Amino acid sequence: MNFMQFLTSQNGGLILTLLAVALAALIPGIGSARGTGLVGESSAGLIAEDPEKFGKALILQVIPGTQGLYGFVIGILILVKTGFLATIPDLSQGFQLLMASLPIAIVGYRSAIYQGKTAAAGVQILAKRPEKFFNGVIFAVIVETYALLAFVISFLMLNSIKL
Amino acid sequence: MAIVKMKKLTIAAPLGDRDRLLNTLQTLGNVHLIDLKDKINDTSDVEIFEEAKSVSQTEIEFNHIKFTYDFLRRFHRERVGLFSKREIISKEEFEELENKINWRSIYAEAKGIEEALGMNRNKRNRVLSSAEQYRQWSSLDISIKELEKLKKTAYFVGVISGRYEAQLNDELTSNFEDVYIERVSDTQQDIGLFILCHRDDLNKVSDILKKYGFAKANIDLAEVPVNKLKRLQEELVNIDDEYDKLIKRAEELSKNAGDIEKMFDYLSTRLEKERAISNLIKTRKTLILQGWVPEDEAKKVSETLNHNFKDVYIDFEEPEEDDNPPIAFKNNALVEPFEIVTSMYSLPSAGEVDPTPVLTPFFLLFFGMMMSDIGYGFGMLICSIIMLKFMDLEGGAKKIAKLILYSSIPTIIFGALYGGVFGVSIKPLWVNPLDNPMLILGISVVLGVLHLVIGLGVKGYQLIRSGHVLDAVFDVGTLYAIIFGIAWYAAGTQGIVGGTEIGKWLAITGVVGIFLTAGRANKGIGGKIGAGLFGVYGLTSYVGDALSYSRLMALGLATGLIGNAFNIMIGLMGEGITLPKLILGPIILIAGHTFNLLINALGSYVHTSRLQYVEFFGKFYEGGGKAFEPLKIKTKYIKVKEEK
Repeated sequence: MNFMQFLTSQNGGLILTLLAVALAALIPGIGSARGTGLVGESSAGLIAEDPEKFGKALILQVIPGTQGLYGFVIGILILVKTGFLATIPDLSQGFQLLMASLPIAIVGYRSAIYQGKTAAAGVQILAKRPEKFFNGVIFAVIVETYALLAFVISFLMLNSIKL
Repeated sequence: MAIVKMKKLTIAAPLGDRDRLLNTLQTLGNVHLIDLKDKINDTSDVEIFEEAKSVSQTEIEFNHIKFTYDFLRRFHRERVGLFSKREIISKEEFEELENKINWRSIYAEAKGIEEALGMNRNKRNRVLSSAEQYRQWSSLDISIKELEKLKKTAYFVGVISGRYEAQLNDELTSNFEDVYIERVSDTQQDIGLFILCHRDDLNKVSDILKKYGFAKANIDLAEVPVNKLKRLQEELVNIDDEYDKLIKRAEELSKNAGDIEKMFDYLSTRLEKERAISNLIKTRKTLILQGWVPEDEAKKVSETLNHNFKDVYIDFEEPEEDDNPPIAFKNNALVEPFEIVTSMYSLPSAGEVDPTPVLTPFFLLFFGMMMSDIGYGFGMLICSIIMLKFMDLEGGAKKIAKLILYSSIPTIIFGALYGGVFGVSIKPLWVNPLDNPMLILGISVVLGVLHLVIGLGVKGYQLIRSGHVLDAVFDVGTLYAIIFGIAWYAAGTQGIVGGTEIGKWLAITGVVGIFLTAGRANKGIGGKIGAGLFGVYGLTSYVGDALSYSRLMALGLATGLIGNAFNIMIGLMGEGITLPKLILGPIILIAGHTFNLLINALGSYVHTSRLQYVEFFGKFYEGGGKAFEPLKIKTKYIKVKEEK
C-alpha cells in the first residue's frame, strides 16, 4: 500500500479532520501567544514605574488573546460535529472540514499579532495620558473585527458541511 | 436641545476682593473662567497688567503634601476597600482643615524618616560590599600588628589569576629558598595568596609577582579579617534593627493618612483657585474676570455676588458668533449615561445639536443584538446594581455603571429572542441565529440602513435649522429618495407593496438629483459635472456603510458559540456526575463565562460605539467643542457638602 492508497482508502478523512482541528487550535494560538506577549513586554516597563496601572495594562494584554480562543472553539466544534470522531468523515468531507478551519487559522494568526502591536502601542497611551486609556483599547478592539469575521465564516462553513 | 445654554459673565471688582471673590466662585462651582491674557491688547485706554507667574507658596506646600501622601501610602496597612464610602464634611469644616490638622509636622517626620531610610540603605550597602571584600580573606588569621613584629620578613597579600598560580609557585620556590606561600582563598578565577619572603628579596619577589599580574588586596589588615567580618555582621544587625524601627515609625505615622488625604484635597482646591488667577487681568486698582455660566444659574451667581460684595460690577451677555462657549450636557436620566459615548468621540461644537438622544436607542439596540445572552445580561445587571448601590461613584464612573445597567436590559431581551443562556441554546422567542444566520444578517443591514437614515435626518434638521433649506433638499432629500426608492422597489419585487415602478423611478430621480446638485458650489460646467459624478460615485460608500452592520450578526453569533464551547468542555468529562466534573467543572464554568462576558461586553461596547462614530456620526456630526470645566472644589478623598 503506498501513501496515496493509505490516504484514499480509509484514513484520509480522519487525517484531514484531525489536521483541521489541529490547525484551528494551533495557528491562532501561536498568534495570540505572540500578541499577548508583545503587550506584556511593553507593559512590564510601565508597571516597574507605575504598579497601579496593572489592571488596565492587563485589559490591553488580554485583547489579542481572543483569536486563540476563536481557533479553539472552531476546533472543538469540528470535533463535536464528528461526535468526537465517532463518525469518521470520508476524504471529501475531511477536505471540507479542513477548508472550514482555514479562515480562523490564518486570519486569527496574523490579526492577533497586529492586534498585539496596536495594544502595545496603547500601553504608551496608558503611560502618558491614562485618562485616554480607553481610546487605546478601542484601537486594539477594532483589529479584532477581522478575526471575528473569519471566526463567523469558519463557523458558517462548518455549519453547512453535511456529514 | 440637550446642550446647556451659556451666558458670558464679566466681573470687575477691587483688587483687594480678589481672593474672596475667587473663593466665592469656587464654592458656587459653576463659572468656567475665560483666559483673558490673549485679549489684553484689545483695550488700550487703560493700563492693564498680567498676573506675574511665580512658584507660589501653595504650590510648594502642595508638593510637600503630595510627598507625604505618597510616603504614608507606602506604609499604610489598611487597604481602601472597593465599597468604602468617602467621608462627607461641611464647607466650614473644610475651610478649617488647615488649622485643625498639623500636617507640617507629619511632613517633617515623613521627610525625616525618608532621609533616614536612605542613609540606612547606603550604610547597609557599604557594610555589605566591604564584608564581601573581607570574606575572601576570612581564612587569613593574621593582623598587621603581628606582621610588623617580623623584622626580616616582608609580606604580600593579594590575588592572582588561577592560570598563573602553578607557574608562580614554581618560579618563587625555585628562585628563593625562604619563601612561604599560603593559598588563602579560591574564588572562580582568582586565587588569594599570602606570601612571606626575606626582606632582602623583597624587590625581586615583587618583580616576579608583577610579571604574573599579582594585584594587592584592597583590605585593611589592622584587624584579623575574621574579626573584622564578625564586626561587620554585628553592624549589619544594628542597621537592620534601625531599619525595622524606622519602618515601625513610618507605619505609626501612616495612621495619619486620613488627615493627609483631607489636606491633600484642601491644598489641591486652593492650588486650583490660585491657578485661576492667571486667567484674570488687572488694572492698578481693579481686576477683571470673565467666565461662562449656565443660563439658568446666572441669577444665583449674580445674587450671591451682590450679596457678598459691595463694589462689584456684574454683567451677563449672550454668546457672540465666534465665542465658542464650553459645552455641558443636559439630558434626562435615560440618555445621560450615553453622554460618555459622545464625549469619547468629541463634544459637540457650539452650533451643533447634541447627538446623544438620537444615539441612545440605537446604542441599546445594537449592544443587545451583539451581547444577546440572558445569563450575561443578568450578570451585567447584578454587577451594575452592586456598583451603583455600594460603591462611591461619581461623574464618569457613575455614568459607566448606569450604562452597564441600561445595556443589560436589551442584552436580556435579545438573549430571550435568540434563545441563549450562558451559551446554552433554549427555545428562542424569535429565532436562533445559528439556525438562520441569513435572517439575522438581513435584519442587521436593514437596521443599519435605518440608522443611516436617522443620521441623515439629523443632518437635514441641522441644515434647515441654520436656514439652508435648499442644501437640505439637495444633500439629504436626494439620498432619502434613493434609499426609500430602493426599499420600495425591493419590497415591491417581494410582492409586499405595489407600485414597484414608482420606487424605481424615485431612486433614479435621487441619483439624477445628486448628479445635478453635488457640484453646485463649483464654478464652471466642468467642475460641476466632475463633482456631480463624484457625488454619484460617493453613493457606493453607503453600500460599505450598510454592510458594516453585519457585525451585529457576527458578534451576536460569537457570544453564544464561545460560551457554548466551555459548556461542551464540561460535557466531555463523562456522562452524569463524575469526579472531574465536580472539581474542574465549576472552575471552567466560572472562569470561562466570566472571561467570555468581559471580552464580549468590551467587544459589544466598542463595536456599538464604532457604528455610532464612523457610520452614524459620519453623516452629520463634527464635534470639536471643549468641555465646561468650572472652577470648583475638586476632591478625591472626601466630599464637601454643598451649602443650601
